[in-house]
Amino acid sequence: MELFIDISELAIRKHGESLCGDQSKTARTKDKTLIVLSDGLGSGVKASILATLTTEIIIRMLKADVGLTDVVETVIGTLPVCKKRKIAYSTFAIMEILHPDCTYKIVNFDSPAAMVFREGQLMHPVRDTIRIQDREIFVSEGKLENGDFVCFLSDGILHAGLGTKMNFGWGWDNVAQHIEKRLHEPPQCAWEVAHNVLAETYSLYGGKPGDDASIVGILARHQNRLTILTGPPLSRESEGAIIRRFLKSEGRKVVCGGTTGNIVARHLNTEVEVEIKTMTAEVPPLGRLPGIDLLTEGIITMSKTLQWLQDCDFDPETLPSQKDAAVLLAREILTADVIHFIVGQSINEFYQNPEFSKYVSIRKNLIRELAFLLDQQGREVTVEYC
Amino acid sequence: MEAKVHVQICVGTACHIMGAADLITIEDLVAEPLREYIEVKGVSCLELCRDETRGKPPFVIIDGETMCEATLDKVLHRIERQAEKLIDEKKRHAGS
Repeated sequence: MELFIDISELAIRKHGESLCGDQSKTARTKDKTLIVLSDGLGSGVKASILATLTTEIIIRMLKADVGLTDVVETVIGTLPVCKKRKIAYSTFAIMEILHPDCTYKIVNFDSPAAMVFREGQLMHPVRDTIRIQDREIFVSEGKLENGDFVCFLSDGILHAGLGTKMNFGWGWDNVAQHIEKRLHEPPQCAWEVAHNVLAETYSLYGGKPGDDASIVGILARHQNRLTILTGPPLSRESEGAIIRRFLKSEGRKVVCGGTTGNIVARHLNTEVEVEIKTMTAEVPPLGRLPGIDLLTEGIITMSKTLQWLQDCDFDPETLPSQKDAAVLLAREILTADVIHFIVGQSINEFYQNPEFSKYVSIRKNLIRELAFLLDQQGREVTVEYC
Repeated sequence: MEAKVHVQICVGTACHIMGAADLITIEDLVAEPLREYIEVKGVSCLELCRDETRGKPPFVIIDGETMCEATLDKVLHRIERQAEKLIDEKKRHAGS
C-alpha cells in the first residue's frame, strides 16, 4: 500500500513580536510532496517577509518541476546577504519526496540538519556537501518506510532555554533524544510529535520565546481511508452492486441516512439497531450494523457535522468531547486522509415541504460543500453519484 | 416474560425535525407504577413520511399501531392506558 505523508507545521513567535519570522510551506502534487522551512534573519515583519518570499519561490519552482539543484542555485543567488554579518537574509531546508516509492532528497542551507528517525531511533544518513556560489549546502537522500519520522527545526528550538534552564540552549542532540523518547510510543499522526517538541520549547523559554521557533514534522504511515455512503441510489437494480462494493471498500465505512441504513441492513439480512440514548434535540441518534463503523441519520447530522468542522477549523483537538452522531462523524472525517463519498440521488419528496427547517440543505449541496472544504484542507476527496 | 407495551419512535430525518427528539423523555414521564410495563425503542426510518395518506411525522408505533403527528401528551396518554389494561389483565389472571 502506498504510504501517506502526514505533515504537521507548527510555530511560535518570539515574545513581543506580532509576526513569526519563520515560514513553512508544503505542497502535494500527483508525483511528489514538497516541504520547505525558512528562517528569516532577525524577527518580526522583515524576517517574516524574507522567509515567506524564500518559501514561496522554492515551492513554486519545485512544483513547476525545476530540478532541486537549479532551485537552490537560483534562490541562493537571489537571496540578499547581510553586509555586516556576511550571512544570507534567510535560511532554508527543503524536502522533496517522490511518489509512489517515497524516495526523498533533503537540502539544508544554513539551517539545522533535518532529523530522520526509523523505528524510533535517530538515523545518521550520509550528508554530502556541495558548494553553490561559494556557499555550503548539505544534501542527503533516502527512502521513507512506514513509521519513519522526519523533522525540520528552526534554530529557535535549538536555542530554547538558553541563559535560563540550559547553559547552551536545548541543542540538536538533546532535541533528537527527546524525540526518540517520544517515539517509544508510535504516534498516530505527525502533529503528536511536533506539538510535543514545540510545547517543550515553549516551556524551556519560560513562556517567553527568545526567538521564533518552528518545527515541521513528517510521518510516513499507511493511509486512513474512509468511504461514506449516503442516500438511496436512484435505481433499485444497481443498489445491490453499489452496496456490495461499499461493504468491500478498504478502510472505515460510514453510512449516513435512515433509508440508506435500512437498505444496507436489508443486504446484510438484519435490522438497524438504534441507540436512542445518543439522540439529542439537535442530532438524531446513532444506529448499529455489523461491519459498519458509524451509522447516522442523513442530512441533519451532516449539516451539523459541516458546522462542527468549520467551527473547529478542521482541528480534531478542538472538537467537543460529546459523543453525538455529528461530532463522531466529524471525528471520522478528520481522521481520514482519503475520503470517498457514494451519494445516492433518490430524494424523499417530503423534504420539499416548507415546514422543514431552513437550515436543512439537500444532500448534494451538502456533500459538494464538504468535499470542497476537505479538499482545501489537503485531503484526497472523491464523490460518486448513483 | 412480562407483557409490555411496545413503543417504537421513528428517528428518521423528517420525524426528528417534526418533534421526535421531544419523545425520548417519554419513559421518564410515565407514572411510576406503569413504567415496568412499557418498553421504548428507537427505530430506523420507517419511511412513512413518503406516503401522504399516512399523515404527518413524527410517527410512533404503539403495539403495532401507527400514530402520526405524535406528541408527548398523545403518546403518554395512549401508552398509559394500554399499560393499565395490561395490569388489569394480569390481575384477572392472578385472581382466576
